[in-house]
Formats: sequence, structure tokens, C-alpha cells
Amino acid sequence: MTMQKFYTLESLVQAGRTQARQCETVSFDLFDTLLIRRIHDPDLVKLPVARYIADLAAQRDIRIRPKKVQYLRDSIEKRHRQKTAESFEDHEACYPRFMQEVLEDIFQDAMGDDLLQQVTDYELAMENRMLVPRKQLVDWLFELAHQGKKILVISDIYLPSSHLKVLVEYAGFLDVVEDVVSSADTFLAKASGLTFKPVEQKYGLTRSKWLHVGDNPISDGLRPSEFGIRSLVLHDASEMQRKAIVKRYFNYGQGVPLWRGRALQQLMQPHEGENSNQPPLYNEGYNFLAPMIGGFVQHIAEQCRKLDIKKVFFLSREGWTFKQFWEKSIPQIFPDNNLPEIEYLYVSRMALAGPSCAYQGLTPVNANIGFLPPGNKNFKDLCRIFSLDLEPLTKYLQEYGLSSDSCLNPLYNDFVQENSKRFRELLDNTSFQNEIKSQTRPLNDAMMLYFEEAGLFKHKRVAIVDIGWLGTIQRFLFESIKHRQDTPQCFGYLFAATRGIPYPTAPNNSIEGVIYDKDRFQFSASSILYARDLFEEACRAPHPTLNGYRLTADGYELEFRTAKDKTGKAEKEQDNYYAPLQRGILDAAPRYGAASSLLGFSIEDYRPWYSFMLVSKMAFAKTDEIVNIRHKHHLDDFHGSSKPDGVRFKQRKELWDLSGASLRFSPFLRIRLFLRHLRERIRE
Amino acid sequence: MKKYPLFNTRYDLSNSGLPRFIKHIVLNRFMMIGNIFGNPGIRNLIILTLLHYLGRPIYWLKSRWGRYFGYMAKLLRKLN
Repeated sequence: MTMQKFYTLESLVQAGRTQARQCETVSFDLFDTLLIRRIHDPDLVKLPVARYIADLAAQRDIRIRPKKVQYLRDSIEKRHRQKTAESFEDHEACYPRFMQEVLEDIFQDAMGDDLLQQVTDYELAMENRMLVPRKQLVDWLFELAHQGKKILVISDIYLPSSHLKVLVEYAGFLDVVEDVVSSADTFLAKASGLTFKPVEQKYGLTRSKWLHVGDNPISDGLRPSEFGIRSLVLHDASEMQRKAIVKRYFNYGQGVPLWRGRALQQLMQPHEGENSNQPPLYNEGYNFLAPMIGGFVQHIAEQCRKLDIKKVFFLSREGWTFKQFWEKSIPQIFPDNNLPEIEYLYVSRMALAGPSCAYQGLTPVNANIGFLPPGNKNFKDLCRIFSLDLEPLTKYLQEYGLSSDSCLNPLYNDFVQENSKRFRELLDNTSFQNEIKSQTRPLNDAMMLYFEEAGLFKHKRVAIVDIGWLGTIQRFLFESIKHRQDTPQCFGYLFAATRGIPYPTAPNNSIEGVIYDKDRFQFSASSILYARDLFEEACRAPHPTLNGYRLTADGYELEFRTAKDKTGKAEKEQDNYYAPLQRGILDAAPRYGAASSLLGFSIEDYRPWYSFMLVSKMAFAKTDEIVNIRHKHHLDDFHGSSKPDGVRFKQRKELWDLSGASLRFSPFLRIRLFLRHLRERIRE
Repeated sequence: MKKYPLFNTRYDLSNSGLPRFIKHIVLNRFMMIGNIFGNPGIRNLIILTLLHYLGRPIYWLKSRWGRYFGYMAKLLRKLN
């Protein structure tokens, strides 16, 4: 029998179909034939396993570096191969045997009964995440199975057939395969051709009616031919190109930090059947937002491990996406289970503003926060934000020569400086503050019941995760609970921190902007300010915002905003529009976890690439991207309905607000706006 | 909206490919676009451009007649 060589998968499958008509059995090679790897070098999958073993050792107070674990594994595996070569022609090794020896060497007396199983499970899971079934070949395999052909999978590898079956099952074709044969079980490999005879005898095969398909010209071509089996060998040029590219990105990333994020993205990419046509929003979610959200949640997990934080609260509504991303990616990056508990906490600025006044009253800073949105003009707006009843407070306003309609925001023409001064004096009035405290106390009590149930006070240190921007939610949250003895130390992690109003950082209450923080000069990351609402809308949970907490006879109740009015419907429409974007983000999460755990990098490694992505996608976005991605509706109950008319108010159109025609035809538009952005950031 | 795959046939990101990256690197030479932390390396960019855009014919030739062209094998060894 002679072997036939093919340079494309299509030609191989076509020839295979013809040949298979005369055959009863078709055997396939597994790796690089039925399954391809996302990474160019299969040995790279061993690195996260070495890190995992080192982490497990650290939990048992054994200090060993991952490199040392890798060295031990390589040397013990090599010794096993040399020993096998003394009795067999093939230099094979068997994973459970040499890994058992590696683990015994490291853990000695501290080795439990299930440690080998634990490590094996992780290694197989890592392999599964890096393997992709070749769609055309697997489709053909199913076709052959339906024709009643006997299908065998034969592989030369250190994993025994029981382990290979796990990989084949994950790939989805174990049901149609007669058996999986591995050289690790018998030490008889395809490389020497010795594996074919036992297979022929065990399964009662006829050589002349047996077709073998693989990628290695010797093991899968020459050896089967010598044995009398027809063989088809795939020498796939496109696979060679793909591997050469991923190898370059990986290797460049080892030396140049800028390429690390790009290597991550290359490893995250879908292949074969996974790479289907998707809407542009899905692609933006997958390729632009997901890597950054991944870096964000990975950083939080790293900080939690470092600072011994035992619980992470993801704040509604953007925390919904962050939490799901965490669940799908972080356990892959930190498989040793040393991770904090996670919880989604229903909060909002509006819901927490009132409770924050229950013990401290209305502070001047919080009143200023209320007047930050240009739509808020007078005391009525503050009452709306802080859930205050205006009527009992009117007499205090009158005492200071104010009314509920007196303009307190300098962005309006009827603003008088004197009003602002009187309002400050009013805030120093103890009776006025006592009235505010008594009005907001029931809200705080209800909120406290909810927080107690959520376990906020059960831990000494908690992480609070939100999208941004001033950290107002965490500010209100901490002010609502700080009077308690059991208040935890709150570590706030924001996707981006703009710090428009300085945050009252203290040892027990701090915030950090992870992707962008105004306190660190990250000019390219500041491009995020081009379209803040995009990030909010993209991550928003598909439920209405929380209006507040209310005491009931049974305890408390969460009050959500209605979704039936015009704004609620607009929000629903926006959610539907962004559904593919969110799908893209969440589909990318497990691939981010696998790619990042393989690379072993963290956010500081990816940051240069994030900088490029933010500048490229925000400041120099293509017209189609802006038109497709920008939101249609953005709801914010914190903003009032007044329209500022003062000279201080400048309504400027930003890049992401411009029409498609302006974006297309205005000369040097992006460069002009970018220089303006640069000037503003430097002035800050 | 027209649908398209995430990964194009040149094994590049379909909505943020190598040409866009090179454009920004060139722009960064003339105007500060931010702290991108270092240079990607001219050689790296050339090799990646070759692999993404000429990789298909190069590997088509290599897979068929690579063994006959010593000089080509030498070039490909450098690329790999």
C-alpha cells in the first residue's frame, strides 16, 4: 500500500470519501488531525499545570517555583522514556506513572490520595480548553460512522487512552468511536509501526479494508503503508501558517510587553466551527471589551488573594456582567480554589443616597454631588435624589431665605451666589439635619437588613466592584454603614475612576481605578472618557435599576424602577440592541481564562495593549464602529430634567455624539478632538 | 448589519487587525497617543505582516516543495 499526501483538508476529505467506500475500518490520528491546538507548542500547556502544582504545594507550606516543577516533570518523564526504550522500540512514557513520581518527589508525606487525580483533572481541562475539533474531519467521521464503518482513534502520546477519551468526549465524538488507542498503554507506537498489529488482532481488522488518516508522514503515512494499510497524510499549509503566527505573537510577548495583550487575543480567537459569522456588536464585545473586562476581574482576584479579601460584591447593574465574566474565567486562572466568595449586590446611587444621610445627615460634599449633573437645579432635585420629603423641610429653607425652587446650581442663569452661601449655612443647622436623619433612617434600616442578609458584615475585608466613575455608590454605601462596629474594610475596584470629586480615601475605605485612574497618569487609557456610557450600557444587567429599600412587616423589600413607562421601554430597547455585545463579552470569558492561565500574565502585562485598543477604538474609532456601537438610550435617574442656560454651561459634541456624515467627511476630525482631549487631560 | 467572523482568513482580528495597529504605531511617532510602553519592533512588524499577508503563498510553497529550496527553508526558519 502507498500513502497519499494532501495539502488541504478539503482534498483529503474528498479522497478519503472515495477510499473509504472500499474499507470497513477508518482510523484517525488525534492531535493535529482530528483536534488542533490553539497554541503552536503542545508543551506550553504544561506550564499552567506546573504553576498549579506549585500553588498546591504552597497551600501545604512547601515552597517550590513553577520552573522547578517543570524541570522535575521533564527530567522524570525523560527518565521514564529511557527506561521504556530498554525493553521497547518506542521511547514512550505514561502520564499517571511519571506524574505520580513528580508529585511524590515534591509533596512527599503531604501527598493526599486524590492529588494525582486533581492534577490530572486540571491538565485535561487545560488541554480541552486549548483543543479545537477540525470541523470538516469530524463531520466526515460522523458520516463514516453513520455508514457503519468502524472508527478508531490512534495516538502516540504520554496520555493513556482513558485520559484521551476525556478529550475526545469533550470534543463531542466519543459516541461514534469504537475505541481510543494510546501508545502510553502498551508502549507500542505508530512511530515504529508496532501499534498496528495489536490493534488489528484486538479488533479483528482486515488490513486491506483499513484506512488510516493522520498528519505525520512517518507515523501516519510510511508505517501504516509498510504494514499494508491505506494511509492519507495531511500536510496542511494553512495550519502551518496559523501556528507560525501564534508562535510569533507568543514569542514577541515574552520580550516586548506590548505584544502580550495581542498574544492573549490571538489565543482567545475561535477556530474551525467556532469561528462563525457574527454581528459587528458581538465582535466588538468579544475582541474589544472582553479582554479589558478580563484584565479587570483578574486584577481583582489577584488583589483579593494578596490582601486576604474573602468576599467580593459586584454592584448592580454593571456588576452583573463582571460577576458572570468572573465565574466563567477566574476559576481557570486560579484553579487552587483560593478565591473569595462572590455576590451580586442590588444597589444604585439613588437607592443609597437616602440611607447615607441616616446617621451623618446631608453633607456639603454629598449636596455638591447632587448638583454635578447639569439637570439638577434646586433643593427639589436634592429631595428626589436623597429620598427626602420636602414639606417638613420647607420651614427651614424659609428660615434661611430660600425656597424649594431657589437655584443652587451655577450652570443656570438665575443662580445667585448668596443662595449657595445660605444653603451652606442651612446644612449646619442641627434641627434641619435631624429632620433629614429621621426621614432617611427607615431607608437605612431596610438597607441594613438586606446587607446583613447578603453577608456584608460577616467579613473583615470586602472588595466592592463597580464600573466607575467617581465612586459615588461606594461613597454612599460606606457612609451608610460606617457607624457600625462590624463595618468591614472596603476595597473598591472601579473599571475606571475619573475622581471628579476627590474620594475620601481612608485605611478602611479606598477605591482604585483598574483600567483608568485619574490619580495615575495613563493618557491613552483616558480615551475611555470619550464614551463612558458605552461601557455602562454594555455591562448593564437586564433588569431595571433599584429605586430603594423599604421596610415591610416581614423585613425589607427591594423597590425596582418600573419598566413599563417610556424610559423603561427605551431602556429595554437599548438592552435588546446590546444583547449581541453582551453575548460576545460572555462568550469570550472562558477563552480569556484559558488564554490568560496559559500565558501566566496579569493586567500590568496586558496594559500596553489595552492602551492601544482604547486609543484605537475610542479616539480613532472608524465611523461604522461608532455608528454601530454607540448607545441609543441611556437612563440615569440621578439626572434631573432642568435644562442649564448659564454661560458656564458648554454643551460640547464629542466624537461619539457626531453624525455619520460629520464622522466621515469632517477633515482631521479625530486628530483635532484628540488634541483637545490631550490638552484637557494635561490641564487636569 | 452585515455579519462577519471574529478571525479572518489571514488569522488576524477582523475588526482590529495588524494594519490598524501599524497605523497607530506610525501615528505615535508623530504625535503622542499615550503610554503604549515601548516599541513593537520593526523586524517583528515586518515578519508579522509577511506571515499574515504572504503566509498563505509562502506556506503553500513550503508544504509542497519546501525541501527543494534550501534558501527558502533558511528564510522560513528565520520566520519560525
